Parts: sequence; structure tokens; C-alpha cells
Amino acid sequence: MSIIVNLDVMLEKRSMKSNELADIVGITTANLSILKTGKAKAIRFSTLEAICKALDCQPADILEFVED
Amino acid sequence: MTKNRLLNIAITLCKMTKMIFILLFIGFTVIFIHLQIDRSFYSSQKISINTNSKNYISTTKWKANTNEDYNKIFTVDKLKTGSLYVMYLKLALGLILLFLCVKEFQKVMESVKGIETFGENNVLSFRRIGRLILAYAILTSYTSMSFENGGFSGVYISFTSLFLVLFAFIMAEIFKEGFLIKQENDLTI
Repeated sequence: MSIIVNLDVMLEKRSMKSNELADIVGITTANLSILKTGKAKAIRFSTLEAICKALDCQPADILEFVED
Repeated sequence: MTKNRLLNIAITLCKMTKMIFILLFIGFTVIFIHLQIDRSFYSSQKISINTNSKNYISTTKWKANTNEDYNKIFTVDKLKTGSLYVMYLKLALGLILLFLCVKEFQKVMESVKGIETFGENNVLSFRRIGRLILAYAILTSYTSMSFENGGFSGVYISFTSLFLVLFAFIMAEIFKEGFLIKQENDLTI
């Protein structure tokens, strides 16, 4: 997929663990894992908003477009 | 609740139908064996062949140097051994195919009950049902029986079976669409 999710990088920058983020955002760790591994087909604005709020970042910091 | 009751009835019906198929299979096997031991027991049993049915696209009846009525030629005891074996195998295979069909349908019903309606297994189940009914339609399409003093052969097209095949494949496509939508929904975070 040409949209890359850089959630790992942001988590490392903020020294946060996946479990903590999942708790704050209110999603399961399984779903967060789907998002991190790039298996997700779509992301809700509400989820994106919660992640941005939790990591104090912009959507562009998490999502990146790469030409196939 | 209503939904569950309906599903439970469907599942029970499937189980009962499966039992009936097993009993029929055993019954046919017993008759098949008994027919070879004591043929005269079945001398009054006529085989009625409805050649007037519009589903038959070609039929042939023949007699061998006899003035006997067809009703007297087409009796179970005068059926040739080869024909008897073919008939038994056809019946047995037909019952097995129908049994597997009902089994697949039961699986689908159980998955609906378990709230896994749009799973990949149901798509495969409906495709399997389609293939099984198609095999059944092909199996029953040709009838050929040889008796001591005559015989019958005919090609029969069962439109009901073909309609069911089409229906099963359409259901498979619908469930495939449902599976894709469910997958997309599941993978939306």
C-alpha cells in the first residue's frame, strides 16, 4: 500500500508504549497493531484525532504517501 | 429470538433430512442385496417411466421379439444385473451428493447462528452446494435400463436442479460481497 503509517516512529519519539496509546485512544491493542503493520483499510477521523491528541502531533507525522 | 428459533428449526430440519438420507441409503442397499438373493419377490413391482414429462429431451423404448406389454417388461425382477448395479450406484451417489449438500447448508445455518454470517467459509459452502447440485443434475440426467425383454433410455434435464445451481452460485457471490464489506469494516480503525 502506498500510504505508510509511521506510528512506531512517533511512539519512539514520545517514548510511549503501544499499550499506553491504545488505552488513551480507546482502541484495542489488536487494532493498533493492524494500524501499525499497515493492514488497515481505513482510519476514522475520530481515531486519527485521538492519536494526534495523544502523541501531540499532526496527521502528516503519522501518515506518509509513497509512490508504488 | 424469532431469528434464532427459525435458525434452530432449519438446523433441526437439516439434521432430520441427513438422517432420512442415511436411512434411505441403508434401505436401498438392503433392497439391492435382497434383489440379488430373491428376485421373484419383486415380480409384481413395476418400474413406471414417465416418458411424457417435458423435461425429457430424448427417450427410447425397445422390445425384443415379444408381444408383451411394456408394463410386463419393465418390472424390477427382470432388470439386468448390469443395469441394477448402475441404478444402485446412481441412487447411492445421488444420495451422497444430496447428503453433502444438506451438510453444507447446515454449516451455513450454524455460522449464521454464531453471528459469523459473512465469513469466507460461507462463500466456499455455497460454491460447494452449487457444484454438488450440478453434479447431481448431471448424474440424474441420463437414465438407461435394460430388462430381459426390452429396455429404456432417456436424457432428462432437471430445470429445478439447474435453477438451484444458479441460485447457489448467486448466493456465493452475494456472500462474497458481504465478506468484502465486513473485512473492510473490520479493518477500519
